[in-house]
Amino acid sequence: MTNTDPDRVRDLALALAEDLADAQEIAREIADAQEIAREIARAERAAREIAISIAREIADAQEIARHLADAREIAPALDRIVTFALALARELADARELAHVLGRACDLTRELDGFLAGVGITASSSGQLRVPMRLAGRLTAIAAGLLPGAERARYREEFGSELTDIALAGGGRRAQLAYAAWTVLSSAWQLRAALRSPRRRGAVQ
Amino acid sequence: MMSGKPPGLRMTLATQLALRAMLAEPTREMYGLQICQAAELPSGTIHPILARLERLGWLESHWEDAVPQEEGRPRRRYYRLTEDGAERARIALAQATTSTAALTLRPRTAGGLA
Repeated sequence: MTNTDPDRVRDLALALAEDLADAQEIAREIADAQEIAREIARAERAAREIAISIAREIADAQEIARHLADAREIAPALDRIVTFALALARELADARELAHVLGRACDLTRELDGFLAGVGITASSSGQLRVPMRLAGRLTAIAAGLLPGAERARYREEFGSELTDIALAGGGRRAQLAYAAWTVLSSAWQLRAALRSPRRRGAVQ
Repeated sequence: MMSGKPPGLRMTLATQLALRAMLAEPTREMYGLQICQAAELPSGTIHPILARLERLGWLESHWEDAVPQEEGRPRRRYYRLTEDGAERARIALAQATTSTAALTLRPRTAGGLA
């Protein structure tokens, strides 16, 4: 350019300055847009994480619901198991009590064996047995101890009464011991079973 | 019609003997040893039978009113057939007798009575 017009140069410079300003503005807007895009991306990631978390919570809730449904189904069975366990516990308590009474019976048996051995008589001897009446009374008490708790007192008294009747009627120690042995060995378990059977409606208490 | 043997009562020979002994005097009260003697059963074996019959309502029992100190012995437990029990016992015994007779008199398949 040889023939330079100062005005034209100034105009060109102004136009260039404006273009530069526009370009800077555009660059700022692009930078802003990029920042917004990054924000949006961050928000999107956060939203995705929240969605995943919610999905997990829903899955957990469904699992819990399934477990609750299962629990509802097995609840009646659990009731039956608890009822059975309670009945079993009662039977075991009875069995423990019986074992205790049987233990006492075994002690008495040993005591009887010792007594018989001491007087030179075996249990199968046919001679006159010299057994103290107290022993027969203790055997009948053991027989009563084998019975259900509510019936023990009655039968202890009833057996004692019959034992006394045998003695008063002239029954010797052998007769008393025979009565006690029959009561203990032969009939106490049958009596226990009879007393545990249901009482018919209308039967006298 | 009144039925005889209720469910749960086995009409064993001992049960029949005890019922017959009590039916001999249905209104009489007896204690255990007396029933044993009347039924000719060993002493001490009667109580399971009496307990079953009592629970079925055929028997009722009570303690005697006597004062042990005055009597010089413990009080006795007396048993008595109830009215309903006596009737049921008669029927049950009749049925037991009939079934026993049927067993012994069952005709053979090849000719005549046994």
